Amino acid sequence: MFRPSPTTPLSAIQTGISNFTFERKDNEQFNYTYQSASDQDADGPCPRLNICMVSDFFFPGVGGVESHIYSIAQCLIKKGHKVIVIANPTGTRNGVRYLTNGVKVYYIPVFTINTPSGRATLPFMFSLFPVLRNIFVRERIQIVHGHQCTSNMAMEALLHARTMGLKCCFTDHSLFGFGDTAGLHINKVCKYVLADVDHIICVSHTSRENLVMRAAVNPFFASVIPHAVDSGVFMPIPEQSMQLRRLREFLKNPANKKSDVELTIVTVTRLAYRKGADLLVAIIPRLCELFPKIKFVIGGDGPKKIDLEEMRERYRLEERVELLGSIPHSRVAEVIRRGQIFINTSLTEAFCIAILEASSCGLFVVSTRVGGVPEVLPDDMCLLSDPDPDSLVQKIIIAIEQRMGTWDPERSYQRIKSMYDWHHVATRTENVYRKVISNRHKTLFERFQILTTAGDFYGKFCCMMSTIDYFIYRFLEWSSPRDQIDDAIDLPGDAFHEEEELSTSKDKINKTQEVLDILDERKSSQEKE
Amino acid sequence: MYDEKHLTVSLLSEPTKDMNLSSMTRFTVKSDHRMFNGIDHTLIIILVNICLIYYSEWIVVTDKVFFITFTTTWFFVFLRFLTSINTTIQESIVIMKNHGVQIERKSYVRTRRRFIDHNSIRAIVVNEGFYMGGYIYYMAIIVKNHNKMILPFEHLFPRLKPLLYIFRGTRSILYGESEPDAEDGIVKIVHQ
Repeated sequence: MFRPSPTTPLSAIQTGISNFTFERKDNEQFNYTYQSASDQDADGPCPRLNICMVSDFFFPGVGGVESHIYSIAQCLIKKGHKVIVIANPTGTRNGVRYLTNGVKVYYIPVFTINTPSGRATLPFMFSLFPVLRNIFVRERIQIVHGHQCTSNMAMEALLHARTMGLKCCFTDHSLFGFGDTAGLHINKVCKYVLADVDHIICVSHTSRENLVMRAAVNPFFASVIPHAVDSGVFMPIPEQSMQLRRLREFLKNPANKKSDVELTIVTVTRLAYRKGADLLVAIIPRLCELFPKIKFVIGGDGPKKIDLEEMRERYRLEERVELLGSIPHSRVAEVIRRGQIFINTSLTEAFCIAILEASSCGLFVVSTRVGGVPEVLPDDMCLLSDPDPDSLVQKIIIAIEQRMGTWDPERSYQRIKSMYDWHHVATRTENVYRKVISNRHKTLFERFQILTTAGDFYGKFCCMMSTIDYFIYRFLEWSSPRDQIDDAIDLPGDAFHEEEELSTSKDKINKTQEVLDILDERKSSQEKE
Repeated sequence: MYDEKHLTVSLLSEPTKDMNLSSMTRFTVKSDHRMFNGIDHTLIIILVNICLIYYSEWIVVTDKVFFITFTTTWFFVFLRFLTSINTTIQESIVIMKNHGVQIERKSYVRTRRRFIDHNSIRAIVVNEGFYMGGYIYYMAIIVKNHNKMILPFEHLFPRLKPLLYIFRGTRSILYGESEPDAEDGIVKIVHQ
């Protein structure tokens, strides 16, 4: 259902969803149907903003969301903004901590439950309001940025920030279904919280379509800013080029049988159903039979590890298939570099960072065509197959026999380095903030207008929740007044702020001219003395 | 959460030529707490009114009702009295150059003092922590061979400005760092 804003003309509401095309016949059409805030040109430097990132998923947990938040925080600090992060505590790690370059992390005391993927918060709607308000007031936050739909703390923080009149952004990192239990509940919560958010950022076009449809948000307020990869960490080593040279010579020689080729296939993934561990179990024996000399390296842990071990024993592949278990994040690059081909078998993925990292390390990628995966790499750097074993095996055969003969890891690294950079992501996010910070403050009545469209009964329920939130806010303003809350001391802004790199030679010439002028002045003043 | 705290700095010996603070300085934080608050006054008024109502027989109250209300109100007043005599009314820290630091905590009935030797002080820091629904700044002394930090101002949390004054003052005497500026105006310097 298209959610109308207070200024939409009545005719648009009546025609509803037919005005917006979600079929992507070619990329050109898609680019013209909306103008995302992140692609507009920046005019002038952005004023220093105080940004708060909120998510359940942060350091010391490891994952896509965590690294996204951390990398963006680092890049925004280099641009001169202030970034703090609110996360939930694990074990003894609670209180206020500082990470590299002055990222302040608040591990707030919140009730969490143990889940297989870490500690998760429960949706107690208003329990965090006092703490969050205290943090927002003392750090003088202007923008609150929540990450991930499944993070209850992020959704709550957005709600409370809205009540307090702060600007809100939201980034979504996963795809969700519409009919399954998890999807139903999460979509309902999304419909409530995301109605009020100023801007939404998605990591791929597929993810954007998915989010717009399941949370019924206005597609004009959703942008696509993909993840990036840290090229300094994921780079190829010279050994890989040598290995590939040997491989190329082997394949070129017509006397050699193609099935005798020696190479390593790597996959680093959480071994769960969603990530396609069953597909792995199905294709490995077949490939080992077809190519008697290839090896597999599998990194990662999960509930399906047992199946993989069983498969190893059954087909006697102990020497050829290596199961490394869970790998600390610092060693992932070194594991990936052991191979020449990277496989990703996930059954659903909004934006696969693993294949990006693998490509950056110089590996050729074979993946399943699901979700946002086709948007990540160009066609000549990866092969996409349907998510079933036959198709995957076929594509891997093509990769080994045809693509490895002309593959260059260094070139792959250079291309990825030019395409994906965290600084670009941060610039685009900064553009979103710039747009958001000048938004007009919405009155409570306007919020109600939007919330009632969430559903016949649910809409009114949402209005009631917002009213209760507002009353709690007024109560908190009385019970813990703002002048009793000390302002937090900021780290000196210039300490971590890096000046923009001078990209054009003209800038460099001007800069050197300035420096020469200053030196001349000093010299003349010295001579005078 | 806090009331306005008064901060006094008392110099226990003559300041030397270069420093404004002497080599023995006491920083005191006093609270505004008073023995009988407004609530106690209301309770006592209720008590007196109950007695008057009973003895004037204006409303016929059964003895049982009278007895219960009378005793419960006195009970509340007594409870409040008990809890308030142990509230902290003054906390202070005495810094002696080259010797150490003494922390004192005074309530209506007792005072507790604790001396920390100069050699066992690892560091004196100002840190942020979660307390009663929000984050506040507190001063802490990290002591060798102790698991927990010792907080000089554990019950009367001063605001950030006076706290930084005390912090910089402590460090200037103990470690010779720069003196705090007297820009606040809420600091009273008293020479004893």
